[in-house]
Amino acid sequence: MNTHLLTGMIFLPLLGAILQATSPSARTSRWMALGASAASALLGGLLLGQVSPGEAGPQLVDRLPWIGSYAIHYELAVDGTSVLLLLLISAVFPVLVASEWERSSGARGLHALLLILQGSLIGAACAQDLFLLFFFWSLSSLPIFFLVGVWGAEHKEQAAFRSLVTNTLGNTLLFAAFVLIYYSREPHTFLIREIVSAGGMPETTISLAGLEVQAANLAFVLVCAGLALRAPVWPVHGWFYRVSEEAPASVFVAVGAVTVPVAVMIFGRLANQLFPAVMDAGANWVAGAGLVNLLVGSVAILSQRRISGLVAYLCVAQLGLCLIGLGSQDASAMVGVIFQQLGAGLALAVLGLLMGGLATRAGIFEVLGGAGGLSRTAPAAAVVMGLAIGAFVGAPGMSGFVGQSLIAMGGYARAPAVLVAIGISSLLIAYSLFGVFRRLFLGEPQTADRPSSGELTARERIYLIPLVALIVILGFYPKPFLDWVRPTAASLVSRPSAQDAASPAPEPGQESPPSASPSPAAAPES
Amino acid sequence: MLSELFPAVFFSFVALAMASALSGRFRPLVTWTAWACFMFSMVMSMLILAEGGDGAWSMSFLSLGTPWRELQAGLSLNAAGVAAAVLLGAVLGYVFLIEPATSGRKGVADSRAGAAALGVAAVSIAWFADGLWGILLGQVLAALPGWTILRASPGEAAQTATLTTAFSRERALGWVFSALGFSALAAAGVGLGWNASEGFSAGSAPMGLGLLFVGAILQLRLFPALGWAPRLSASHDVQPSALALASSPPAWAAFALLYRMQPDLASSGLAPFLVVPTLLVSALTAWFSLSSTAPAARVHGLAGAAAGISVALLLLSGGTEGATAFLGFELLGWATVLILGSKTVGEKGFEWFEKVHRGALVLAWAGGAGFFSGTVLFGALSTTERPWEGALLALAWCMMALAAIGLVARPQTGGGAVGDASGRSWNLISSAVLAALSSSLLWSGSFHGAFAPDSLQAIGPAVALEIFSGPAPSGSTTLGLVHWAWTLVLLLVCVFRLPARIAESSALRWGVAGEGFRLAEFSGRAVDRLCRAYFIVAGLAKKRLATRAAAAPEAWLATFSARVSSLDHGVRERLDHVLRILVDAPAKAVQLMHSGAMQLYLLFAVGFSLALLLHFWGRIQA
Repeated sequence: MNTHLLTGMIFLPLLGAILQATSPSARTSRWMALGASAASALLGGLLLGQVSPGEAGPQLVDRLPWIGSYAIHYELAVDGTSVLLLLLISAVFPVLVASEWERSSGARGLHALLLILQGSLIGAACAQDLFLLFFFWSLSSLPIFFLVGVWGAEHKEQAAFRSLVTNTLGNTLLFAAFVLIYYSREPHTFLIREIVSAGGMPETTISLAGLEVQAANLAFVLVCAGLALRAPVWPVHGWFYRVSEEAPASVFVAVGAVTVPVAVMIFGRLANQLFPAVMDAGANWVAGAGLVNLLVGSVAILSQRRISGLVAYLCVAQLGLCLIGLGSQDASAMVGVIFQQLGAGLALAVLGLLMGGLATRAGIFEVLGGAGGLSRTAPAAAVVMGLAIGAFVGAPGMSGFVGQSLIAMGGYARAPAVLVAIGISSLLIAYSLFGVFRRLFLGEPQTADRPSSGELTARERIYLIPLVALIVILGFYPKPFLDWVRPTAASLVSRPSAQDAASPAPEPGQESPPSASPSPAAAPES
Repeated sequence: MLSELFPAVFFSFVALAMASALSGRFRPLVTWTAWACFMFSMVMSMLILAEGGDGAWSMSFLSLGTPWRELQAGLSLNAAGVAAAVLLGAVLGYVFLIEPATSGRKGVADSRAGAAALGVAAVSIAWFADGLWGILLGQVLAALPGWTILRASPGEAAQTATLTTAFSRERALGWVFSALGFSALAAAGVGLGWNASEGFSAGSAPMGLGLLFVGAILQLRLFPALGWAPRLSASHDVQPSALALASSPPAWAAFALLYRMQPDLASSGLAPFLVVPTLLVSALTAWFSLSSTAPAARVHGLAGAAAGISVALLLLSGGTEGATAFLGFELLGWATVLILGSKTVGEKGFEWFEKVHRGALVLAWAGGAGFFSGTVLFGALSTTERPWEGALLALAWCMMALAAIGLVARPQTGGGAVGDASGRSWNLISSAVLAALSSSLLWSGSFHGAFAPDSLQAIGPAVALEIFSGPAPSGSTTLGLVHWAWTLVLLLVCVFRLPARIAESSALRWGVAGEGFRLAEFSGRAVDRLCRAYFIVAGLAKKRLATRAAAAPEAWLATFSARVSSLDHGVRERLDHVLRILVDAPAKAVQLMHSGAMQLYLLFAVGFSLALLLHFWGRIQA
């Protein structure tokens, strides 16, 4: 029985955004915003309970015909690639709404935009139709523009404009890729399962400015470019760095800790499902891009004066790690990538909100100067920071260890040099972050000019501690989470044999014939 | 039933130990309860082992690899682990729980008792874990007492901050290598569970084993991963016992990994290649201890050198021999810490005891007791066919002995006391107990120390008789070299004042030999003179190393990072510029189109183009 949980998760925040914006009382609107976000998160929890760990294909499918003339469907489902992202979104967004509780001006607007972002990211993560995916994905770029442009710091307009232009360009390239995919197959379809059942994108050639180009290759490049512009892939990460400098902490966390993992997930899913042969051929390039991101991010952290820049480069490094995992084309690495998105996302959220709180309350914006000795005046903040550092360093017992180890395992099988890169990166990150901890939290307390001690408020403890607890739980007992992910991850990197290619693709509603490799489950009628 | 109850009791202890680090108001209650749980769990463990059980408990932790296999995480009791947990618990329990309680000190003492409980919990997890992940988890938790101790240390805040950061970075360095080793082993298809005969069954994955070995070695206070110890100032603000609590649990947890890995190292063929580097760094670490000025740094280096020698014995002889040596040396180290903490001006009657005690410790470190020990002989016998390793072992041992002499023989004046005057006598007695325990472990080469008459009969006296009753070993054999080296050290210890007296051109008196044992003026002058050359050279070299070698990587890294950031900034700016042009050009074009003049021109251009098109279209049609 389909309980339409996914639809509820998407539209509750959207509905909440409208309702709280029209509420007469500021206090009521805050509670409505938090309620809407938390309700979506609660539905996410219920959904997790219904997801079966042993299945590779889509589950809990919500399906409606939408624009029939173009075979566009409203089809949502959850599988191993999206289940942990739903957990991430459900855990983080209520926290972001709560972190902006004391916002004095424009709180309604800010909360509304955060809720729209929450709903659109869930939709993008779970969409099974390319057009629907594009719809939600491009919808998610608009709130970022307004959030940065209205509530940002001194140069907010420039940062917002850059993010909008870059994101729009990326969305355009992505849409071009989807159109190419749509028209490459007869009958035309945007449904991912139908394209996968037919063996991915066909090997057709198109003529482009007099050149004969493989359509699949072109579409793959467009997808890569489109998503790279949304995620902070070096060198097109300039907008991300600007946003980190200008955006409020909650907005930057929404971008860096949630939107980026969704981008990575979309790329991993589409590349392996729609262009398996091209992905196999281009895996080394993907891993190479990841390597560059990882090393640039890890090295640049050390010289960052501003805390926001430090967190931004941490995000770049984590993205690089995930790309290395995707490029490894190994089942363990794929599981590691999906798990790392959750773990790193939570750690980035904790770190970003903690640093944002220090900036807001204690006026600490830079690593050097004006800070020091916070562990004596803010011991709880010191503990939280220490645990976040442990997650980034990959200490056993924290979520980072599981994700990084799985990615390293998979990468080592393909190229032992991956181990060297990951080791160097981890060492550099550990060196840098411990240095930051020393400057901010150790040494002589510098309390003379600080407006506040920097200690976590009661509200911050309420919403940060569950995130930290989740990081620790993921590190100590990751098995249930990995069981959700494993079958889908294995199916993504498995390639059908010649026998499977010869057998006909199943019609929707019919059982698929037995095959050597797992195939997406047929979508049940809703 | 005991086996089923043990995991619950043990994990209760672990949870309470962690809680004692966080709890404020109820810390004393939580700490004492944690220690009580620990004692109960250790009694249970010994009973379980006596019954032949293993108290095994495990849960599925992770699925990995292709094909998928389940990685288990759990507990499995073993004699080595129980011995390690009991010994460390006894030492830390006395130093940080009982001694402060009897002396009536509160506050800092409570936090340190909690930190000590946490250290014992972490070490126990590492020694009882039935899989690699559990051991690594124990290594991570073992660093927590260090943070607690260093954060709560008195003295200049900036110095403590630097120490804490260096300590953290060193720990992280070891973890990263261990994590990479874990990944490499898992990628090679190793199950990562442990059993006594085969270890991790990872003999076919030398890369992973090597990484794990490096990760463990980095926790053992060996050169150059001494990190924070060289930054100790000559002040006594940081007590040796506190620093020992910071550095000891990570070393014990790391040795658990080495002990478990020993069968794999042997089967993979890596062990012979690791002995020489290990002994070299042990010798260097002993040199560091010799040339340091702060007592805590010297203890740190001494313990590191001893740990390195234990690792070498593990690689040469086997896990049991190496582990007993490690435990024995660690206890000796704690005995040294306790004696360092006691004041020389003391109660009547105990002054003499303290002096004899110091002499006994010197003998123990110098191998006087170890000279007869089966453990050391195992090492020597194993190197009979490996002369270089044997020579290096002798060198490392001698340097360690000299470092110990220079440390223990010198009376420590000033602060750094472990306890106040009323506890001092207990410190001495407990130190003596530790030294005796240590010697029994080193002597017998077994975990039950002197309580196994068979091993004692078989190894200790028989060996001693064999060495000293038979013909003197030839100096050309390895055993002979080692024999004479130890004899020399013993002689130095016993008659150290003689060269000094001769050097002072005093009349040679028969009483000088008696004066050599007058520990009231125990000054180690001969050792001073012998080592003065070391101090001068070592001091200069260390200063250069400290300023260049330690500072150079940091400076280089900072410069490199700044350059990468600058390059990244340049790339971002250029791309922003391109983006601006791409957006501005059409925007300006559209803007232009809104101006009246441009519209006229555009209209004319469009009209003209249409006219041309119509003209040539007509011709084409024709």
